[in-house]
Amino acid sequence: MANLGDVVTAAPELDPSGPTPARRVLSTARAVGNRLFWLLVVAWAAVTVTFVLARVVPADPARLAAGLQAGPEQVEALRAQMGLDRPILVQYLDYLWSVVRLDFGDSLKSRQPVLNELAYVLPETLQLVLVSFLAYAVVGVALGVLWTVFPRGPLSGLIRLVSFAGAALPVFWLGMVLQAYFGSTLKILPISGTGMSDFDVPRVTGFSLVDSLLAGNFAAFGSAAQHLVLPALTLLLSQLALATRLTRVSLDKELKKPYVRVVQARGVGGFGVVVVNALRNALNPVVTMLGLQFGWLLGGTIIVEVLFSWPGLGLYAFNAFSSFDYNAILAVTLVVTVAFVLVNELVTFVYPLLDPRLRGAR
Amino acid sequence: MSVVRNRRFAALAAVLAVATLGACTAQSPDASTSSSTTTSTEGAAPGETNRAVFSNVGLPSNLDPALAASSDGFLFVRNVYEGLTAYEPGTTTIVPALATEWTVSDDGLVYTFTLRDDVTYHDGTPFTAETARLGFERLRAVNGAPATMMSEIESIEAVGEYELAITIAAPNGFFTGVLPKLPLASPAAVEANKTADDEWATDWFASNAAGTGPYRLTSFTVNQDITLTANEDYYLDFDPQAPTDIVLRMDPDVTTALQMLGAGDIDMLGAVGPDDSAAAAELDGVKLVEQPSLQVQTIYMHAAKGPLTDPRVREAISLAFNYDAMIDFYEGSAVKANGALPATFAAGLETFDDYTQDLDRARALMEEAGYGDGGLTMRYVGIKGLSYFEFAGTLLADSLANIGIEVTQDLVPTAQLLEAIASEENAPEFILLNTSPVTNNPTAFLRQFYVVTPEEGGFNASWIADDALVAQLDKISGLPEGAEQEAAVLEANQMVKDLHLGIHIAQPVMAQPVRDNWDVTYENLDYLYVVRFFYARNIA
Repeated sequence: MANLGDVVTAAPELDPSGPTPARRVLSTARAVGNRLFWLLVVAWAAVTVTFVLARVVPADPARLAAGLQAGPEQVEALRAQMGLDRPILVQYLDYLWSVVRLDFGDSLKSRQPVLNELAYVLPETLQLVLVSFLAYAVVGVALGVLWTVFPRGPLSGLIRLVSFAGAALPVFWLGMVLQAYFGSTLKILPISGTGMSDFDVPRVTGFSLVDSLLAGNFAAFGSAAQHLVLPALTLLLSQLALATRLTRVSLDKELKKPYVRVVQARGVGGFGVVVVNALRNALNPVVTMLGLQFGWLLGGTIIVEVLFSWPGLGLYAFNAFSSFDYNAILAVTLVVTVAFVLVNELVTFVYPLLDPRLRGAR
Repeated sequence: MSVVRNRRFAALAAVLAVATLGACTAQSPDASTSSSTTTSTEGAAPGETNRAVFSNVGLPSNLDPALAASSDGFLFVRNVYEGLTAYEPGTTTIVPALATEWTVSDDGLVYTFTLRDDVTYHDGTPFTAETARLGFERLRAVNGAPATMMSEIESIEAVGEYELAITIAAPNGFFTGVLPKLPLASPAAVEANKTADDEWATDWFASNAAGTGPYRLTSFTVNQDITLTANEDYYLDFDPQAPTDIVLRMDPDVTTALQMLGAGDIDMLGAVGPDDSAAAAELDGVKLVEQPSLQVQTIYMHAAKGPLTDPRVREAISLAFNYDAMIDFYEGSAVKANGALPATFAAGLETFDDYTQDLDRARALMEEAGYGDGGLTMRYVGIKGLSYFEFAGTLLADSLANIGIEVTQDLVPTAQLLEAIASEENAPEFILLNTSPVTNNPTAFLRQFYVVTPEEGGFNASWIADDALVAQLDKISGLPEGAEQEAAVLEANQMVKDLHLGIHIAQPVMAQPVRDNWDVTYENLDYLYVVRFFYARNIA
């Protein structure tokens, strides 16, 4: 991952002769290979730590999966079926090998392939995260800009209050208050679920908004959109302070630079200076942070999904942890880890778009 | 920051705080005034179209009836599948179901069932003695939790087109009470969907259904909901007030579910504790369905460890416990237990005396046992996050301090509770378990909780099995239904009391919140959170 300070403060030195195309391809391939290697290392470490921790905790997943009524012979039969009667090292190596083949095994609870279950729940979380993240990025940066342009006054106070309150309040409490107010009191938004139960919309992508549009079912689309509002708003509010504050700090720093004075001397003020001239240069640290938060969101929606009965990866993980479903726990860990690292790697490709100095740099 | 800005900031914060508090304390309006938004997105409002929406903290992730092992699975299975017999709703009384009548051989080993000749599975194939036999065979082969209940069955034979003979290993006057727990699936569905690697079509049954029950599976969305519709070919007539459409939905957060209940978006809840029941009762349009439960909350004493091997010490501990305080904690959601068996489980059990605290007698017993000076330390294990587990541990510590026993508490996550009693050597001196029967057989209940140890697959966390008790339970099994059997059950209950294997601290009263336009009964032999919707009535 690029070091923030290197990206923001140092103008890279350019080779006057410039790299040849072949050298550029080789350099890129080396960089990609390097990143892929570290991605694998991080994923392996995460899976290994989770594997060990899951087995250290004193609980018997075979007993839990078999149910309270099961006799000892049935529990042992299930344990053998799950492969839990083998030595730990054998289980570990076997698991690593199966993961390489994208076989996450069967859920101990449902006895169904974990991969199929993940494929089912992942789009629900992606949809929620994408919607809330996009809204969060736009609103967070916008509020940061407003705060910069109007550093004093009631608007500044309001922005500070809303963003910091969202960060300070526990996310589950925030969600419950939104449910109580918009759902139970005003009754203008639904309290939980995805809103698709009453519509016969074929599942194509797993994204309810997309599937309902593909089916031409606008009532279903409306229902899906309505059901997204409160959970997405909860995620947005809980994260808002960071984007808002960082945008403000970064803009403040940028506005002190000489080129801004030149622009101001030409008579450009207020929004013009901030948005048109300074914002793009100030976005690098914000983009880095947004990337980190997106990755976090992918694995951090458990509380929101439980609260809003949102059938995504977070709820799946919650059920897996509750029932010590080893295979599901490991698969969720792996997916979230890989997604987090991938997203942050992708963020580094955004920098050159914002800062031309980074294009073609060594 | 200036003083003026401080004041403005504080004022704004105060306004937001008041608005928040207002949102939190607002009562939900009646269901009849539910907003068009919620009703339109959630479908027709409950009560308008005879649709019942049941919310539970969990839903089965696998619909196979041969694997159902907990209340979330039973909620589905009991409405879509059936057994040869059934329990009268909310009771322990056996009534005919797929079998209309039965006879028992003189030696008590062969049960011959006459089956209904007007039943079809949901896939249209007829139900016969042979298909029933194959249904049992599938349960045994898949070897999930229901198969445990087949351990006493030696053979099953179709002796006629609608006549089925089941031979059991030893006489058991309560055998028919097992059959409601053995759901029969369509063998034709097995045949149509099996593969070389999956002889019993477990993959297909994981997300499909082919039973004989009053409801058919319409849709199944994992981690979301299961929808059922009335089986138009059901052999019994639907009452006009019975629901024709069922939605079983998962709401893992009880607070969210309560909000939805108050808003009229759901009709019934499962898995609600006493704290939440009390809160739910305050909601407009919501009532509590109160039924005696068949649970007895028991703090087991490790009778094979240290001072607890002495029955006088165990009796002293039983007498030292503050039962009144435990009942007060429940604020009406529990009554005192009077023995190992729930007072409403069988005739005559209600005549046993409640447990009461007697510190003088407790001290005298400790003195007699040689522990008059106290100085003992023991460990209690309970579930973290469940208020009554935590309170019981605190109360135990407080009570036993009066007789010189110091109690330390270990609160563990639910999944680790069974691990705490996995081995006799490491098991704690005290552990609280909710003992609950799954059939109407008191001997099976007493055996599971007071004879068979956890190492052997039971829940006898006292770790001793009294020979006289075992003999008594064997005797009861061989007795036919009648006065002699009832007397023998009472005697067995007294024996467990006299052994002081556990402190029977409370018998919870079930109080589940439902919308007040519904009359429902919860099944107290299925861990309490199951409703058989065929018997529910929308009285709006």
